[in-house]
Amino acid sequence: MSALASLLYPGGQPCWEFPELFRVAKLPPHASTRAWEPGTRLSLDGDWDFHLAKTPDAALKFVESPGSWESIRVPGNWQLQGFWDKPHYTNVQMPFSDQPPQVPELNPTGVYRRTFQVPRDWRGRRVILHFGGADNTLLVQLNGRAVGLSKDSRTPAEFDVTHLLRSGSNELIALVIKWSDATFIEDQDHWWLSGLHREVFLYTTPKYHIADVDVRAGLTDDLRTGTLDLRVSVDFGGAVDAGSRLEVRLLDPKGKPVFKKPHVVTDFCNGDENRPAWNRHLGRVTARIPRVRAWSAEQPHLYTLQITLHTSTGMQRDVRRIGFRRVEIRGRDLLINGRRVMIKGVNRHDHDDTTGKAVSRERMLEDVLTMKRFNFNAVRTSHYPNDPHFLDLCDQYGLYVIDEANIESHAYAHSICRDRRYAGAFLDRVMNMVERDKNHPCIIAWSLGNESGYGPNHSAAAGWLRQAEPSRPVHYEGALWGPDADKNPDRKIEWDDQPFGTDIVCPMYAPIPVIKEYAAKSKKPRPLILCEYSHAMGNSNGSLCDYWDAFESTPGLQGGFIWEWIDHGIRTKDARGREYWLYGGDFGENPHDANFVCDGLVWPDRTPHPAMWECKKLQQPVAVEPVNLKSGRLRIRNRQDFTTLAWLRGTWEVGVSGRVVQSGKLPVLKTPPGQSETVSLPIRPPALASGEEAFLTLRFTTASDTPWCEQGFEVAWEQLALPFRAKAPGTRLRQPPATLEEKNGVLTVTAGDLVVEASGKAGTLTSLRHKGVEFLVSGPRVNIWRAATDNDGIKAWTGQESKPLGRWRKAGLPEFQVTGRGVSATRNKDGSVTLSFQSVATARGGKIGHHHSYTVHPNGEIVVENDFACDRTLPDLPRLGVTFILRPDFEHLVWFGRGPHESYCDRKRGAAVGLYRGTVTGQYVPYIVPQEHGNKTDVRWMELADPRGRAIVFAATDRLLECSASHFTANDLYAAAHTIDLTPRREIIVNLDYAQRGLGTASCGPDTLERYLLPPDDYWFGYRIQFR
Amino acid sequence: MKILLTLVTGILLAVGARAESPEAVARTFFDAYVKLRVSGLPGEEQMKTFSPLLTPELAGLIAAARAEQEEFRKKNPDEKPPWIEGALFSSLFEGVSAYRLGEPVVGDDRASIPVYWEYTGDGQTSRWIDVVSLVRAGDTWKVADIFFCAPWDFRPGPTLRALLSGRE
Repeated sequence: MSALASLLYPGGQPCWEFPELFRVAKLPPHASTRAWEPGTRLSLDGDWDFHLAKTPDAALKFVESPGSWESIRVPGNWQLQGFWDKPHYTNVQMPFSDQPPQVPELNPTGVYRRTFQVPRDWRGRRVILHFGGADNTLLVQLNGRAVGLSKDSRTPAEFDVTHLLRSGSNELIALVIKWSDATFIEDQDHWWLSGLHREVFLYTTPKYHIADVDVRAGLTDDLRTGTLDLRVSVDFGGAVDAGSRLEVRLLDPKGKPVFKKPHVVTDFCNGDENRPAWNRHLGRVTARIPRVRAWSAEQPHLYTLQITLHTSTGMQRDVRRIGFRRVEIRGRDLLINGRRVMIKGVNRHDHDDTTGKAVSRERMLEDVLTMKRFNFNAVRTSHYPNDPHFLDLCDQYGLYVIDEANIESHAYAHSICRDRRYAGAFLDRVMNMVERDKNHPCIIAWSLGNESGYGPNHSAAAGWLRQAEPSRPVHYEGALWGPDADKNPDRKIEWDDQPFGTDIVCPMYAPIPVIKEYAAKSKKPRPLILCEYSHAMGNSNGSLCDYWDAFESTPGLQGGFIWEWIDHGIRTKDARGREYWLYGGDFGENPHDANFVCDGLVWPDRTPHPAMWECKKLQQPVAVEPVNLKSGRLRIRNRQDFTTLAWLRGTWEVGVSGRVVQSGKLPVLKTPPGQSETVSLPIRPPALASGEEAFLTLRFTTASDTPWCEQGFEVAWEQLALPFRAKAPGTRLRQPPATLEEKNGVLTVTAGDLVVEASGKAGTLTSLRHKGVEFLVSGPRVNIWRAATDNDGIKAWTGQESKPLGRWRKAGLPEFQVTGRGVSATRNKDGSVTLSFQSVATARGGKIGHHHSYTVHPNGEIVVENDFACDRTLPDLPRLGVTFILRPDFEHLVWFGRGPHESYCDRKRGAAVGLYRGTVTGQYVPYIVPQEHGNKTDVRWMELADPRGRAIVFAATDRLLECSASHFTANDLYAAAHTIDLTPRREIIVNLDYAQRGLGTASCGPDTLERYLLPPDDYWFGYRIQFR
Repeated sequence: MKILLTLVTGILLAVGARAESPEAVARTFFDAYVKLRVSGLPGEEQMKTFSPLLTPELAGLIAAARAEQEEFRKKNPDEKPPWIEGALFSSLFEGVSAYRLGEPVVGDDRASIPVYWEYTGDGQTSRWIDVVSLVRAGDTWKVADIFFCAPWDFRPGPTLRALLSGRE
């Protein structure tokens, strides 16, 4: 019988349905390191032999009498490497109906095997086997002997295998069970993916070795003196080895020694007050470092700590980078190095669209670089400790981190947290996280986990944290709700119930009025930092600007973490070789939560969504406010906490209709952090033609290279409308009047080179010909429908009745019909001719009357007016405007409005007004589930031209337009489940809108604010059509 | 930058002196790449420069891709073979003009370095970041892969290895 049987059935009970059992022979957790002495580490990553059994028992049988092996890449997930078990996505609900701790009988179990040879010079030394992460239950056998068991899938499992090794080939077998009792506390919102998903390696130490390093690097009250409290845990296997000593050196960020001579420790005390161990001793060094260069996300100064242990069994070196910084809560402020730092955060899962939970270091670096370049300063490692390499990067490049324990019992949120059988696992997981990550300066708070209710198991973990690691605050959203939240779910939010469970008021998706009310009324003030907000699913992040207005104007509100960083799509190709991304349900799994797994700010290949530009703008380190624009006086505000603005260079330009008419450089700014300075720019009133506006745009770029961007990289910008107006309107040239003819029910108006046709039957224009070129496929018709965004309602889900999409479906908006009710023509005194139409858009829930008129002027310009009368029985509308269909030739797009990326009324601050060019095809935004996209706001005019330069121009009159041009209709997009379902039409669909509804974030969180809604009412809007 | 170099040097010293740093190897590699104006797969002559800087696996993939290219050319003399043109070692097919290495991230046997690229063509300048991945090989480092990280969807693929191994 295999040695694994003893681990698989301890005491005869299946280990995978045994919540009290979460570690066997696993070494105590300790701080991770990345600097290995040459020759002390042997990677076991690569191709392993593999067999995927249907049950743990079948896996055991396979180990005992192996059949044929397949091959698997480690680190990786077997579901993404072609094996029969497929990815499965659920959010809250469990993927099966069994009750904790029971799991399904069909329980895929991976058997991993590989051989290795231990380097000769490791003989006589201690050898440790390290698994960075195994999902879910890991059992290990080496050379036929049982090694141990581990369950926390996101922190390392280490086993001392010294005595199990042999010279020559060693056979290592790892059994990984997919479902276990631990599955119920790893019910996070991501794919269920299994296997050895983080690195596997062996490392060696001398027999007497450094077991752990605990670096407490802080600041004194003067915030300029560093404090080092170093506790090196040494394992002598018993009494202290006589003559042993520790040498400690510290190098400053420039590599210069901080201590004149190394600190030498020869006295070892018996353990740590919080970590007593019978065979461990503690060497302790304390020191003060005057004029220390403190670590912050803005200035991530890292010192190098070199520890050398000399014992009779050899020498061991430990090298790590540390940062001096101080985190504290004072009143309602979270202070970092004494400053109230606004949290510009995002939640991050480990995800790669090809390798799943095994994320390469390069992709992690890409994440960090992109976050920095888009002005993020913080990450919450939702909902488990991310790969430790990611934390190294956060230390190095500067990102604050809330590190979260691998605990989420969402489906059983209010029971497992009180289940005594799980108490040990809760505590173990918090300890595993803290001990692994405690030395990272980037970590500013510990999170007890996510969405698991609140119960004594949490209190136990919080209690341990508060005593063992008091240097950082505790964070846990569930603690806001108190222990009886499930019994009275409708009670008013108080958020002050369980301060023991969280030092930070960290709600998720709380609406703006609610957080403002809390900040104003709370009797027990603590900082409020949203742990999740602005759910970034699909075309999203509407109202993010309003959150930022609230953060910046309300004491006690200190930012938050956007949900989330990356869309968790899985890359695939269709039969035609077209790439696209899969989401929940695409593997035939049931139950599933569809595309709720694709709710990131970047696509699965890490391309930023357009919303990232909104984040970047709102989070930028500089603000510009007008003092007196006519005289060019501006206030420049430094929104940073530790850095002057000297690292940036400012330029300014005055633009008129897309032309730069004046420009210059800002003086070199030395504005101290948190302060402002006033500058005067030599702006002269520009010459403006009728209808023209002038904008002042300021750009702030890096003066020199930084670790995360190149010199000249634009970090911030601001645009202000200048208060200059044209002196007199232009005058129209006198031209021959437009003519009107009627023949066979078709009205024809001719004005110079322009010929306009209309028919009462069609209820709209039927032809627009300019210089003999036809522009129209079909004329303008009222449009109230947009392809629902994920925030309007998730197409693949039921239960969307209360969402906008549910209301729209109920009212029949997706199927609305437009009927024409005749046309009339009027010759006007000024030589123009007006064609007037009545039409009606009919849906189940009501009608919209549409009166639209087209006054064709002698100069060939058409002035259009639209009157809409909406039945009040209709719900709030997705959009209100008209749609033209143009011939395919007019592919070249130019617009003067906000851009270059899409913008919406509640997400447009990151888009400057300017003159932008592109193609209609290029306006497509490939959201994973096709939906509304490509809108442009505050449009003054939009032109569509053919390759010969013949163009139609739509220009705003009294009210700025919202526009888009696309090769897809709203219903094309609405009907599609994946990008490959879309086939672009040849013709061009042009939408000109009075308004589109805001985006909001109602896929998970509040809908857009009332001011961005479009209630059923009477509306008027106009525009002009011109030809070139 | 001086500070960063010192920092990295500090870490390297801590783990033992190395003949060549990952940054030096990456610089040699990209200097040659820019200078030689490589289009498509490097030719035999160009590979004499690159091969010593690449891991055997990556060099093998390039060799295999060249063989596949030849095979394709023989079978389809009138068609354009794969990997025949374009800047395959970066995110932008059109080419590269200049680069700068960012701050290296060095750990145990692997290093990652951001590469800040610039390309000027048709009067427009594009800038983007890729990440070069290196592994330790004795006293030196070898280029193991290049991760294409530009923020556009016309990258040649997720990584150079993926591109060459036909995953793209």
